[in-house]
Amino acid sequence: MTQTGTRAVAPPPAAGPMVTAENLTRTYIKGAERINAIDGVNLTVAPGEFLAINGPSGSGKTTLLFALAGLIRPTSGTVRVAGVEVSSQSPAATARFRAEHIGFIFQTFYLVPYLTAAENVMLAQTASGSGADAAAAGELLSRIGLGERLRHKPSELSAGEQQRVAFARAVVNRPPLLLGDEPTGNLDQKRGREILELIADYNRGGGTVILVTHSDTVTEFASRRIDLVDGRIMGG
Amino acid sequence: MWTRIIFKELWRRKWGFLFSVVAVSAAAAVLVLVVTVSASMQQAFRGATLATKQNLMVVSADADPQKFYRGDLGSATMPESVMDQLTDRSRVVQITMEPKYRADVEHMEVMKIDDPRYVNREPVPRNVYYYPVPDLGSHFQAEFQTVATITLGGRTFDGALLTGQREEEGRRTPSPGGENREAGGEKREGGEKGEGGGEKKQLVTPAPPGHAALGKAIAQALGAKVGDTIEAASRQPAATRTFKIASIKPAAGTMDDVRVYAALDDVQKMLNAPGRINRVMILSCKCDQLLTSQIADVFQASLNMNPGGQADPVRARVLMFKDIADARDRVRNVSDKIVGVMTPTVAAICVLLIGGYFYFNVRERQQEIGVMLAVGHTPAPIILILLAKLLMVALLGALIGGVGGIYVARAMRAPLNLRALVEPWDQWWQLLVGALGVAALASVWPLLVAGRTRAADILRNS
Repeated sequence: MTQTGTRAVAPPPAAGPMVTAENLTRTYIKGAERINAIDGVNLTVAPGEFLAINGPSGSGKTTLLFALAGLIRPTSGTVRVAGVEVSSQSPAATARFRAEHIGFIFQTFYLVPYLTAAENVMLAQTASGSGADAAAAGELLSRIGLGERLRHKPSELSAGEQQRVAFARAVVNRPPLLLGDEPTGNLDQKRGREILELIADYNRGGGTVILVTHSDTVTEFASRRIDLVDGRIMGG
Repeated sequence: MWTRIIFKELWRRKWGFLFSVVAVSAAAAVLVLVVTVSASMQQAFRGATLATKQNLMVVSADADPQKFYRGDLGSATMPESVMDQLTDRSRVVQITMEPKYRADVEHMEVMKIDDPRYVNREPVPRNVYYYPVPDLGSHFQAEFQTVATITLGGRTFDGALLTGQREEEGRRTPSPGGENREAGGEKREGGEKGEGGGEKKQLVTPAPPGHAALGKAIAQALGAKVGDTIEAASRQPAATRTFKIASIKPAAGTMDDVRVYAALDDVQKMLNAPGRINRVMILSCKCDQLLTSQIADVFQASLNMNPGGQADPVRARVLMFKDIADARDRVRNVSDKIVGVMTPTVAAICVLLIGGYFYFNVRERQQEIGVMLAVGHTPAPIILILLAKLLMVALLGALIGGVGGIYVARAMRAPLNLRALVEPWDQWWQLLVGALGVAALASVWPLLVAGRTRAADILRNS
């Protein structure tokens, strides 16, 4: 059903590293206490790579992912995605860059509840500036097995279906980089595996994938795994 | 897509939206109701004043004075019968208005007293005010008057009223003094409307350039006769202040007996005030206190001439008019105060209602905003779709409240018709601009909250 569903949306590999993080640190200050959520992270991810970042809760996985996506500004260090330094861009410029270059899926799906499955996908299309394309959104959803669910709202979809819609929203603009924050965390093993199949398919099509996870299942699909402990990379 | 987002979100939270629209509508309706009832009370008093047949005429401020008489403008605002009464009266109480109040003129009123006992003692204006009213061709307003000393052959007449009258454009000047309605008080004839029903005779016939028509008292004091040349005391060159007597008016027993009528241009030149007019015979203004006091003074002056004050029907009528004018003034003051208090109060309530609703709406949509930022939207379109909903609340509320307020006013039998309320479009513009202003104020804090939303915080905490 989903084995070859998203290959066509994956972009061709870019030249050079897809992601480079150099000495990346993000510090939070709580009263007198300084907490380094990520602490001097150096990371390079090649185009077409599937990287799994493992680590316990509070290890800084989500912070690292958000920093790579330009959703948070690092306290120090730099992040480059497809050759562009996102860590120093303005929020608006980062948003525009993200719309075209980075797809994002979350553990809790974050679908807009009053929009249909197709409209949730079109929401990402409008962000890229290409405009909403209902046909393309519908076609993509059909390819991942949701052809009958285009007009359904999130509340009318199962958790697995919602995550598939979220996946479609993440890849509809053909971004070269897909980031996932525990994308299987709210799914049972079967549905989680289906999502991972989709992501792997996207990766086989040339897309670069970085997922943060607790799950060992994810690492089965990944081409590389690193562990993050207390904001530092311990392996990989 | 944006429209779809706006309306779908609106539908999802329809009860909150409806509640806020109803709340704003109620507030707007209260405001419209207060303004409407206030206006209707004032209008009712105007009507009551008119009904007394006290020759009070109300004409809108933007009326063209030139058409006032010739074009039957008066008939649009009062019954023709009253208009006829007005123009048939022989005396006009003239109230001089200071220039600084001219900008406040809201309505024009003509007030007449038809009893010569009072009019004969009309106080002579001692101050000369100049009104820059350009291009007024109407004899009714284009008047220039000052107190002057007139000399003839060594004799002087101190305190003559030198009155410049403009000849009506396109109209041949009849012989001076031949048709002075103000002085003579002739009845208007049936055929005066003329061709097309628009032309009526002038109230006062101007003198031709270089000529003057003398009141009987002046002529007697100077021993003047037609063809003599009189000279008015002025600092201007002699050529501008000499007039050949074209006619001598018959005795009227009024101030006209001490008037010298000349061409408006001549008198203006003589006083070095070209294009300026000093008398407003048609007036009313927002400066109620001033006008009320002036009107009261005029009446008081009239009443003082009759200190006995016994059972005098004229005096009774004057008092009635004064009472009505005072009551009208009080009504206007009270209603203005109510409107003055209600307007900011309602605006503040609307700001709180809309702002509160908008704030909670933004808080509810934080996750949505976070997702939109995460998928690559910039804050600008997000703020625009938030504002669109806010504007809908404000505009729908203003519209529904406006119509509802008028409906309730009518249900309360406010003596206004719907057309009269709807036609002054400036009121609707004011409501619209007010709604937008309220929306703008209400949006400040919620938009700051929305603009400061950081996707990472929202998505991480969720």
